[in-house]
Amino acid sequence: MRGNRDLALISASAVACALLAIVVPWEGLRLVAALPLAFVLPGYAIVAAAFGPRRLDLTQSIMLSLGCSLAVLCLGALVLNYVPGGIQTASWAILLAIVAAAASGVAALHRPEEGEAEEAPPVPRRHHLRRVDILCGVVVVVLAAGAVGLANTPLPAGGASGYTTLWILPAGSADRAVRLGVSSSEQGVKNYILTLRVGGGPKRTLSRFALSPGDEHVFTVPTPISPDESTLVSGMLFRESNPVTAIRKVRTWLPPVGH
Amino acid sequence: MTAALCAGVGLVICSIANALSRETVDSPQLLYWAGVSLIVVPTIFRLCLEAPSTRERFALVALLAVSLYTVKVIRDPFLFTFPDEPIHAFNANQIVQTHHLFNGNAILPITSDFPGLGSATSALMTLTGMSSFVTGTILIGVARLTFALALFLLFSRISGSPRIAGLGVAIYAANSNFLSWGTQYAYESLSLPLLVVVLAALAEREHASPYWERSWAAPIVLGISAIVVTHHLTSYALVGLLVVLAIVFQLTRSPRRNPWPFALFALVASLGWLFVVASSTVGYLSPVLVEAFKDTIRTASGEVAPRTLFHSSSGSVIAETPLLARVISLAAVGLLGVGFLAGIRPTWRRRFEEPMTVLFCLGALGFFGALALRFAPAAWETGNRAGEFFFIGLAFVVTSGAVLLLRPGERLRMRRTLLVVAVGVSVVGGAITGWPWDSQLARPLRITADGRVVESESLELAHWASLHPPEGTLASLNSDSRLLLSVGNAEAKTDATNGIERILEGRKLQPWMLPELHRVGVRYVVADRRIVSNDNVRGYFFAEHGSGVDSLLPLAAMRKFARLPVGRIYDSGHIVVYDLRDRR
Repeated sequence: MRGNRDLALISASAVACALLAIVVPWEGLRLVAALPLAFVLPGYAIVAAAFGPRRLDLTQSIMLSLGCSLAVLCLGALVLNYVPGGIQTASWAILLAIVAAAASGVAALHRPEEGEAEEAPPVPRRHHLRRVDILCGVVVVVLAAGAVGLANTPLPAGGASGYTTLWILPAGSADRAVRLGVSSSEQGVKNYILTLRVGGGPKRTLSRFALSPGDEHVFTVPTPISPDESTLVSGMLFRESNPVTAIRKVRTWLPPVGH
Repeated sequence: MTAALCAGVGLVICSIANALSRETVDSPQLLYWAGVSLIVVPTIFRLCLEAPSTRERFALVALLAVSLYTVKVIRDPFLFTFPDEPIHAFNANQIVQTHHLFNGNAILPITSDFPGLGSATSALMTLTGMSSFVTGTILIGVARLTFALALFLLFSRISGSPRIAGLGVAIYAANSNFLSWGTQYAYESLSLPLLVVVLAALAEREHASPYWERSWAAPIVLGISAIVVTHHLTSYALVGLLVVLAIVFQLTRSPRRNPWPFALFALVASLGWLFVVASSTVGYLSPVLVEAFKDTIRTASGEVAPRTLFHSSSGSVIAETPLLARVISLAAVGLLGVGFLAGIRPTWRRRFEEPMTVLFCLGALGFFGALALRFAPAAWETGNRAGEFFFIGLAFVVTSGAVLLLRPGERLRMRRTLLVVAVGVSVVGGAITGWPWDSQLARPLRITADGRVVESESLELAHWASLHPPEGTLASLNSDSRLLLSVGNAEAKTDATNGIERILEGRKLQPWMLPELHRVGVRYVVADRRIVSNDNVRGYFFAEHGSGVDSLLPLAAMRKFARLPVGRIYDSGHIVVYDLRDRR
């Protein structure tokens, strides 16, 4: 099919990108395949099908390819919602590849043989990129990547107020135990005392420990359960420097045996 | 290339300013605005020159759109923190998890009925295996690029001048939503670019030979369909635009083909979607619009005091907008007004040869009307959102006036410099107006302490909920709910709709409160003592010593739940989670 090299390339690329997205496990590589499959190929093919023998100029072609591809993405899930399996990797990949290939096929049917185009495409003036342009482009990309990289780097923030978290959850109905978690988001290492009280029993110290920022300790504590009524389990967290005033309090009720 | 290099350096400066802000260092704002100016001004300067080719102008507007979008990405590099973003991220996550659309949304149910954004995001999520944050960020970036390119083609076709087109896109960047609100991961950020694509395609169709007119129908119909399933207001705005355009074609007796078939298609498609799929839209939009209308009347008649400009309604402000920023912001509006006065006549004069210019003139007038809505407390948001649409017309009209300064003659260099400065001030002023001053820069959300990474209290709660999925619905205030939804993947209700706000913020537990929580299916209550937790712009970040975000609700607001015989399963100081099912 002479004069349709672009369409053949679009179809082949769509199929290749779809396969890569389905088969390859690495996110980065899948992204490289997904970007043209999602944002360029379906739109380009639809525009080619709509305009048949007419070649648009570059600016029109870029705008329409992006716009039509976005429209296909917005509408695609409405179709996939009603196919078996629904919205999944394979269904999206196949849908986008089919749209690109089918539209390319329609475009090929409407295009005359090379040299018979009803409206000759404007011949673009070739702009040769100079080395300095390429170098500048690379520098800009590096600067932008550096800016985003810096934005992604967590930094110390002396003015931010740190905090400590205490939580309690039943460890599972069969286990008759609770889990208590303590995590530190403080600005430095802190020492803690964790106490536990089960039902009407005495308060007992579960642990004395230190936590660095970002650390979490989880304690699984077996608890005797009343056969008749719910058992209240309470946890309290103290700073080691002040074992009188609890800084965090949690409680939960464990259901009676057989509940 | 100089413009591109400056944009790159500008991005680095913006990133440094954000880094200083995250480190809670005082006032890196000047540095930030210097960075934004470095991105904007060289590009505007280049667009004002005669020398660049059409392709170079095309590349310059692409550069402007992408670099200004990157400024937003630098602010939020790993988590959505704009008000609507977590809501839409949750929708996309749900689509990928359930493999189906229309999963509902506890915070903003209407968003689930317009699944265009979720659909597009789900495509990228499933194809790449990446998160809704990464794929959503890429998607909106591509949409912003498409927007700028489509606007360039639209203006280029209507004006017949790539120079006006390029400058027009730069002036559109003076729209107050361009740098912040319009870049958020939300359905309008995707539908607005599609609307401009449709308008650009319509303009191209008008100028095409009759044989090729039909070819343009395919992208136009595809674009309209996508808008209808993506965003309610954009689809209704599109119907309005197309109907007005069809009428203008009739009135001006334009020899070109009237676009009424597209107006009819858009009307039928929008109504069909409204009645068949998204019938709740009426109940969602009508109270907002009716209240905006009533409040405008009340404000105009002096019945209620006008809203104070540059003042947050949430009351949780870290820093007031300084005087200089206010002056720049007001100067931007003044400059747009001058541009409007200069451009309206030459634009209106072309109505017979280019009927779309009538739309632009109406849009420009509408912008100033929408600006007045900012004084009405309940209408400012409506005015703010409408401004994005009206600004398309205003940008064209202002550009038509602005290019008068670039006519050959004496003191051209001075006039050009004046224009570059004016557009630069308009863009910076618009950005200042568009987002609270104290929230322009990133706040500490994920920091290092002793070399280890720790996260803010709200974010920690959301991560905890994702690791220990709650067995029921949570009730919480605005910012907590949004993170619970998007990061915690938990069902979280918020807002005043079910009285949740009153329940969580009240000092006493009223007799109706627990039955109401039970009625709406809430099992967990997230009591957050930070006043800022009900602020969907500022509530996600670390509390900071001695700042406005440290303000707390009365202790009684928390203790009212502590007295109940219910579980208290999570306590991080300011945030406590109660399990209502644990009642004995």
